Amino acid sequence: MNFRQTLTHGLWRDLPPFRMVLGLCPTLAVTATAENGLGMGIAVTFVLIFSNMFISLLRKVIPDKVRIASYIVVIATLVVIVELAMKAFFFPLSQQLGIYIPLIVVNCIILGRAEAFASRNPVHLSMADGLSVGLGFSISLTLVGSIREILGVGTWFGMAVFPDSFEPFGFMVQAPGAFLCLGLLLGLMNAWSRRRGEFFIQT
Amino acid sequence: MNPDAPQSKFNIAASSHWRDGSSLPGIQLTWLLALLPAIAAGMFYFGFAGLRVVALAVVASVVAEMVWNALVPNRDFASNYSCVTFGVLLAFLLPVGASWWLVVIGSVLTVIIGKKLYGGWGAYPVHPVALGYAVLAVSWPSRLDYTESLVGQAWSVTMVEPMRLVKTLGASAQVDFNLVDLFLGRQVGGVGNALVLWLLLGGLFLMLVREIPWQIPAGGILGVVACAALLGLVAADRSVGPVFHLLAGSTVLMIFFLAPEHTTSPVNPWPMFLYGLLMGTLLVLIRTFSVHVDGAIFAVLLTNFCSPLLDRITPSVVGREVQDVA
Repeated sequence: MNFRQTLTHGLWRDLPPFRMVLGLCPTLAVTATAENGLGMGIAVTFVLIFSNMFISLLRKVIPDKVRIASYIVVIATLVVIVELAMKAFFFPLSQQLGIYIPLIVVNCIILGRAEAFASRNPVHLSMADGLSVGLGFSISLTLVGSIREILGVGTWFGMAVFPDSFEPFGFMVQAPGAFLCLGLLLGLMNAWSRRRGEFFIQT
Repeated sequence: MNPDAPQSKFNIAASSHWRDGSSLPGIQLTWLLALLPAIAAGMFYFGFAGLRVVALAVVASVVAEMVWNALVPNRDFASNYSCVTFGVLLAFLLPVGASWWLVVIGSVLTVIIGKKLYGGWGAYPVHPVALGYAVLAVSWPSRLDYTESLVGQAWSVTMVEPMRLVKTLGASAQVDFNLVDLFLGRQVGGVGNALVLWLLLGGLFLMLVREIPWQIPAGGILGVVACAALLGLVAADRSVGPVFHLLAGSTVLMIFFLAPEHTTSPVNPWPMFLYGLLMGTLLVLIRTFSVHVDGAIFAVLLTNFCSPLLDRITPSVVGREVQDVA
């Protein structure tokens, strides 16, 4: 992949979590509101860019046999930075996201990009890949969060969308609503891709 | 038959391609016929308020199905009447005074999410009506309160949903209800889910025409009775009697109409019996120990998920017996 492809593949072609179907745990768990989705997406993007950078820099040094453990050390360091920064500057958001911020350490997308891309590509490509996949993840999480918040609570980023007579569709902010929303979006993306004759359909 | 051949244990039956004239619309029309007594009784008890909910649900289901078929080509046509049956069954579970949007959303969820997204009639893992109603119950529990919708009803019976009163006041509250009234459907419930006698008539009709196997209702009734009797021994203050469990709430609707749905129930005799038994047991357990008032829908959903597992209990392999003889 050249630089331009690397920079854009995460936005449609490999859009997480719909195309990669990785990182489903945060997608299902923290997208009850758009704000939570966006916050989670930005945290993951930060970790992804820098973990890709460090792993790409160290790819000649890390021994093959212990590479996963080494990646985890790099990722965990970055996650601790994100966690402490969030607690310092965005305390309410960090309370909302709770355990899912430390759980970024075991997020499959980050480990997957480290293993599949950063460990065999130069630094500038790896960082572009991290940015692109992270942005795609943020957009997807914000989208899922928006749909669930608008239908389930009647607000968007905390602003009221519907008049007072609206009775929220409480199912959407509960766990099964997340599965339904994710499945419908995945199906719609596949249908759209199939109509355009694209070959990367997630089955 | 060749008299020299070893005694065969094969079942002799018509080939699988033999046609007996049954059809998909025929199956669903039989179900609708079985639902007619309850629809009529609902009209008699609640007047046009009950019929309004049924009509609205049926129209919304059919329209949802036809719109989806126009957008997404598939082989599950509206003309097989499955959406009509699901509309009626969903309406039965809703309160008499349900808002129109509640009925419409429930019908669309039932048809689109419950049936169409899985591939139509014959492909879904859980009963679409149970799924549609469960989503409504999670989203708008206060809108589904049966007691509130029947405030104007002039019956000489306790005007509280039987299972709700028993849940709030303990098992001793069951003396407030006359079992004959419960049996005749004079109890607080939805449009059709508590009309015990009339649903029973339809259910027996379905069993007589072999539309539903007898094993599932038999297992269901046995499960309810056995579990309620056992609980009566250990937790007498919380558990009501078996007959009360059978007559109150949606038990009859569940046992005769929701459980034996062709797609979601097992296909072999013993698994069917166990399926009914499991559903009846779960119903009593949910009613006795959970926060939900009537556990019928959740029992249906949980048991539907078990039916592929139960279907692994297959009859013994025919060829193996012949090998043993040789």
